[in-house]
Parts: sequence; structure tokens; C-alpha cells
Amino acid sequence: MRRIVCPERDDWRQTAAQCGFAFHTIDGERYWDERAYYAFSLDEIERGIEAPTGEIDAMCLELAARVIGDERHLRRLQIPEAFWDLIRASWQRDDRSLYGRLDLSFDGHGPAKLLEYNADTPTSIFEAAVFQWTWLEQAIERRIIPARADQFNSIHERLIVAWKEIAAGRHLHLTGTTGDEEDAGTLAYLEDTARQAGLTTTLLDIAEIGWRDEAGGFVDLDNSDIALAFKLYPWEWMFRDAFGAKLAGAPTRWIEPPWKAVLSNKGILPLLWEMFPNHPNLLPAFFEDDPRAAELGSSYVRKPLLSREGANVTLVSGGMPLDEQAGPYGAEGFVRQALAPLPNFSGFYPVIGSWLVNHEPCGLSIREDESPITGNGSRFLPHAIL
Amino acid sequence: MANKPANKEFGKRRPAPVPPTPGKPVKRSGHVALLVMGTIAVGTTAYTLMPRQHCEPAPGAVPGQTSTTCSGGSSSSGSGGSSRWSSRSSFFSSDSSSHSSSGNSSESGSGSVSRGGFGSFGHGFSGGS
Repeated sequence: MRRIVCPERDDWRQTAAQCGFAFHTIDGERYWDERAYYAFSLDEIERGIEAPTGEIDAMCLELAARVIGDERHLRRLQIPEAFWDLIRASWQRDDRSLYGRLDLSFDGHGPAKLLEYNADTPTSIFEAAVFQWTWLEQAIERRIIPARADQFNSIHERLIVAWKEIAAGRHLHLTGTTGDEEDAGTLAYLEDTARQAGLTTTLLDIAEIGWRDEAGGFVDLDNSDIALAFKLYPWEWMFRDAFGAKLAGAPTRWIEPPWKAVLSNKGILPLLWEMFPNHPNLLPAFFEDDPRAAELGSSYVRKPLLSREGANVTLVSGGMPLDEQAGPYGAEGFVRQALAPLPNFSGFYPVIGSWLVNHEPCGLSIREDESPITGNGSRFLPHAIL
Repeated sequence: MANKPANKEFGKRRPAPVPPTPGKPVKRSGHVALLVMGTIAVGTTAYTLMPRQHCEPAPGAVPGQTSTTCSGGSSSSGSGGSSRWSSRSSFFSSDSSSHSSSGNSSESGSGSVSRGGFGSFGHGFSGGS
């Protein structure tokens, strides 16, 4: 694994505009950054990232089964009791998952370590699946990278196949906070792949979803029933919204399904460590109020049970907070995870995003920062297999 | 109190088998094409267009080819545009009151349908991770 500085395409912004990639620059700062790329060997991809991703996903499914079947665990994750039946029902029905992204620490040498699982509302899939691939093709064409270069990336095709299986011809609604550029871009891309799978679609803002009292059910702006909905809006927020109380009584099937509320909770990190102790792809982790947390010593990472984009994550070394990201999370409690410093490539710290579509590892994205905590300002860099 | 299901129903799930797709590369894309996004979704304008769109593949459409029929809604949703929602950077400067659920739904004017029951908790925040 190497970080290779390279020239950027002089017309990449126009290319981005042509394919609808509007959030490549955020608040004047680069989000998409192709002034360098990360190079991997095929072995690093296959044995270092792909295989562990599949194994971690399998472990997560075993864990989900255990948590959903045990009230103590559901309580430990601070999942409101009012939604336990909703979660259980979705698990028992085998409601399908479309996708997820594991965030891994990987330096090309030791085993990849799971930092967290973005199981519910992962973003950056458009730039991973499409714009990164476009970069590879054009970078080869323009001799920016070697002609033999490849990429671990079949996200696009797998999404189309997955939609066919999961939706099975049903009309698909897609919803989220459409005023947010990144979320809107993600929704637009997933809608595009759904249409390529032959589905009919309707896109609406999460706030536009209606509830019909008669017969009970969620409806769109035409008062048509929402039978199957992709939501880019976290379950923990839906649980707390006014319509949360109506979820259990509605026939709507959601993607990601309610059981993903378990796996998107950072409380799975200590539970995974408890269930699969010393697994090479896991880091020791404990709930903060667990006396065993002392085993981590004075160096660890403190993470809220519910957090996004690194918010409220604190890196503690030698008892001192080294780096802390501000944010609104933490009321539900914290976990402590062993400190696994991200690899340092010339002062840049990359996190590997390993994508799963329909439980199949199928692609890679990299976020890089000058800080050892990946946050909302971290840049997306492309990768290649050399 | 929620009922605890029988244990036998749990712990048996494994990743769904992925059917083989003959002729397609396993680890890399063959051709990444956008059906609609690249043609109508350009810049911020795209997001003002996106809500209330109903799309369906045109008759005879082949996946991967640009053949889709979209129709706009009969009324503006009023939810598009980037100005209504805070940008990603402002996520962190929001106070905790933004996270409270209002619990107030508004009548849609179309009988017994109420709206606004989702979206209040995450108002102004990206739901992505």
C-alpha cells in the first residue's frame, strides 16, 4: 500500500458537473482530491481487505441474531424498547439489506482492523462507485497511472443486481434530507441504479412523507402507498420523530431494514469483541462503564454509541485527549476501543471504506485527513491496484 | 414488554448467496453508466428537480441505456435547494435543540393525511455516515 502523488486531470470539475457530482468541493475545501492516489497490490486487496470484510460482515450477522434475541443487549445499545418488536419482525422476515460500509484501519502489512460499521446510512457511494471509476479510466487514458492499473470496484453493477433481487419489481420510494447536497447526490445515484434495474421510482424529502389515518400507512405526496422505501435517514432519528410511533403499524418495508439499527450502533464493537475475542480484524473494545475497559490502559478511542462523521470521537493517549471532534452525540453513552493509530503516509492518515452490496464485498473508498480522526472534512482519494 | 422470540429463530443467518453473473468481472466494473443522473442532475439545480419526480423505464429500455421517462409532480415540493438545510460543516455547530422532535404534524389538506412527522429530529443535518 502506497500513497502516490500524481497530477490531477485539468478538467475533472467539468467531468464532475456532467455526471451530477456537485459536492466535490464543500465550503470551498476539496472533498474529492486526486492530487494523489493509494496503490495496492492485488494480494493486499484480496487477502487484506476483501476477505476480512466478508468475515466481519458474517460476524456482524451472527451478532445481530444474538442481540435481537436478547433484551439485555438491546437495552445495552440504548435502543428504545418501543421498537424492539419492529426490529425483531424485520429480522424474522429476513428483510433485505442493500449495502453497508466498514471503516477499516489498514496499512498494507498487518491485518485490517474494524473501526466501525456504517450499516444504516452510508454515503460516499457515488464517488466510490462512479467518479472514482471514471478517474481510473481517464487516468489510464492520460497516462497519469500505469496502463495495467485496476480498481477494486464492482459497486455499480452489484447495486443494479441487488435492486432487482430486493425490490423484485415493486415500486421504490427513496427519501432523505434532499436539501443536503451530499445526501441528495447519494439518493440520486441510488435512484439511478434502481431505474437501471428496471424499477419505477419516486423521490421525496423525508419531511414530505405522509401518514394516512384511515387504514394506516405511509404515503407520498400523491397519497400513494409507500410499500418499499429506501431511506437515507438514520433509524435512531426515525425512532425519535413524531411518526416513529407509527412505524410498527405500517406495512412499509424499509431499506436499510430496522434490524440494521443494531449494527449501526457502536455498541456492537464491544459486543463483537466479547463474541469473537482476539479476532485479528477486531480491536479490543468495551462499554465505558464496564470495569474491563481498564484493560485498555490510558490510551484508547472514546466513541458515542450513536455518532456520524467522527463527531464526539475522542482519541486519548496516555490519559490525555490528543484529538477530539466536536458534535451533538454522546447522551446515550460511550464505548472505548483500543487505540489503533491510522497509518501515516507522509502526514496523511487514510481510512479504508470497504463496501458491501447485498453482503458481498465489492469496492473500496479512501478518506484521508491530516488528523488521525476521520471527520466531515476528510478528503476522498481514489485508489488503484498496481 | 416485548415478547422474546424463540431462540431457534436466531443465529442461523449467513450472508445471502450472490448468484454468479457469467461474463461479468468479479472485482471491477465493466461499464459504469448513469441513466438519468448525468443528464438532468447537474449542480444544485438537480436537487431542486429531484423531489416529486416519478420515473419509470421507458418501454423497451435496456439497463445501462439512457431511456427513462420522468414526470414532475403536480405541485412544487418546496424542499429542494441547498439554502434550506445547513451544509455539512455546520452540522457540528448546531446546538442540541435541533435534535428534538417537534411531534407536530401538519394537515396536508387532502383529508386524513398528515405530514411532517419525519425529518424533525435530523433537521438540517446530513443523515449519511
